[in-house]
Amino acid sequence: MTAKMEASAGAISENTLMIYGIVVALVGTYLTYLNVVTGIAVFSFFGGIGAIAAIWWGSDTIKHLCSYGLGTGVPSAGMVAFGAGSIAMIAGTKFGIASPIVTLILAALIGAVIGYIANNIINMNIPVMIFSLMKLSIVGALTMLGFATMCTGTFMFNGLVIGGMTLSMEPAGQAAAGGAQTFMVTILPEFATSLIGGSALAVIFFLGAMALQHPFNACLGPNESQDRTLMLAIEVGFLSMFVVAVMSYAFLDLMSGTVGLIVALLGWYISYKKYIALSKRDAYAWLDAKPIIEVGGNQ
Amino acid sequence: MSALGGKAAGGEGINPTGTVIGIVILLVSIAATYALGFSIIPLIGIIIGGALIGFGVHFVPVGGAPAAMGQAPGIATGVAMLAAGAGLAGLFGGAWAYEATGDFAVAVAGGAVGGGLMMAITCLMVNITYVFAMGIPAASGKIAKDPITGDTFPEYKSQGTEGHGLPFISFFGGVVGGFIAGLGGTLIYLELFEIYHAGLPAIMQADAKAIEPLAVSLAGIFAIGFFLVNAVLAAYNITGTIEGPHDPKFKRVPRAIIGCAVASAFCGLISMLIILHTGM
Repeated sequence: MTAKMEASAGAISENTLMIYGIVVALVGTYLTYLNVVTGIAVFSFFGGIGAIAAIWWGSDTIKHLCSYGLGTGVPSAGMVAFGAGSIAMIAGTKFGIASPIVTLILAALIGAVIGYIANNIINMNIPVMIFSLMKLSIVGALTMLGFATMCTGTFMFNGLVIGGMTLSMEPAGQAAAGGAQTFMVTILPEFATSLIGGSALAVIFFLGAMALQHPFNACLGPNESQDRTLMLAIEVGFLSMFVVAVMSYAFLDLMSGTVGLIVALLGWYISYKKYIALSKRDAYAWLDAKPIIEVGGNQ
Repeated sequence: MSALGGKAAGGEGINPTGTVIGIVILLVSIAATYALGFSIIPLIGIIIGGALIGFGVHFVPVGGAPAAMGQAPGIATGVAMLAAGAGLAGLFGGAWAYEATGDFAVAVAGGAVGGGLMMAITCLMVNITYVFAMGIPAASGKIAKDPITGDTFPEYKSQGTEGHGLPFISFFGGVVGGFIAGLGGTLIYLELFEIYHAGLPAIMQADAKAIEPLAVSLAGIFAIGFFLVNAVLAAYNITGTIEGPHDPKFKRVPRAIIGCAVASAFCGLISMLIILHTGM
């Protein structure tokens, strides 16, 4: 119970991962702005790619934080990351075109405060605590922003809170000829059918949190290797992206949702195959399961 | 219980420098809220709610992995998961009560009862599993006698374990913890809802009735975020497992209350930026 688990020294250093993670997440989120430029929403899936980059980097950060033995298990780190990240992300989307950058800064601020509290007020005395929680908050915020952008096609507050649920808005059009009921149908659901107004963001919250906390929780142990853990992060990220793509059908047109779905499925298939290959590489022996052989007769 | 089996580095006692700086952060957050032109009453409510969550989590008997093997008393899961379960059950109960009655006191009481009820059901089912499925009696390893019922434990405690099952004092702690954490979570939700209910119609240029679903959702998502941050901070303070209010680790509770209050103050300030006029 006292043995300190060493995080595996990976081929990619922590700082390299951080730079790739932040850059890809920001660029991915900003690429969805092509939706506005071109007028079609097919570029929304870039948000999901950005979110996966953030998860990929975050699972390595979790590894370094949790190797100190927090005493609370790996999932709690994912939960605090998204708890802080959700606050930063929603507040950050208020700032128009600068939203992804502001989200990153706000998340870093919240993470620093929470890290300081954990380290100095609660006396955890873990050297990497403050910096790790800063990074995890950024991961949580950028993942939620990326998935929310993929879902709605925009990273701005108005797009996230004003309803664009095409499916549920159709009855509103039919009822437009009606009298007093028209007011109820056209005005009230305007906010209730949006990503935040309909609380669909809560689903993204937990999809992201599970994708972030799972990879290291599943791969930890004496045989943990960085490339396998990171590959699992990508695989779980694409799995979350698949669900987000299904959700995006409610907010985007059929074409854009399908593009996201295909990208997610394709990415998941490739990363899953690679992950299985890496698991076979790291395993002592790989025995394919066979049905139990029925012994006949009197044996 | 750490999944890695590592020993947590958390020390005992209060760190004076850290605490003073934390209180400065808290006061700066309140001052910044005032400077931005918001009322500070909701922020005070949020801070009290956060501190209540940090306090309540310490009552919940968390056993972790050893409890799953019957080697330590408590509920066999992590602090963050249990606290989130109790707090969110309370939060939903309170939010529903507020929508049904519109009364602040009834809603807060509803949230507290919801959290306490969830923990009571969890503790009962955990004990049924322990006693009838695993065949182990409830015994604490930290104390010799239950402070409430007076039951003695050493005769029932298996050798080589820290105790097992869920003694009455732990059950009691679980219900009290769920009650307090649910109360804190609901308080945060209600304060945030008040802020958004009043502030969003102006910023979105929309009818107050039309904006209500958005205010509910925003307050709900933020309350979940606040709750998880506070619960995990409390979990870090406990460093793994705690048996309930009789556990020696319970003496660490002041640190968690200060920490959660500071975290809630800062996060509360950020969450109010939503209704700030940014002109974008």
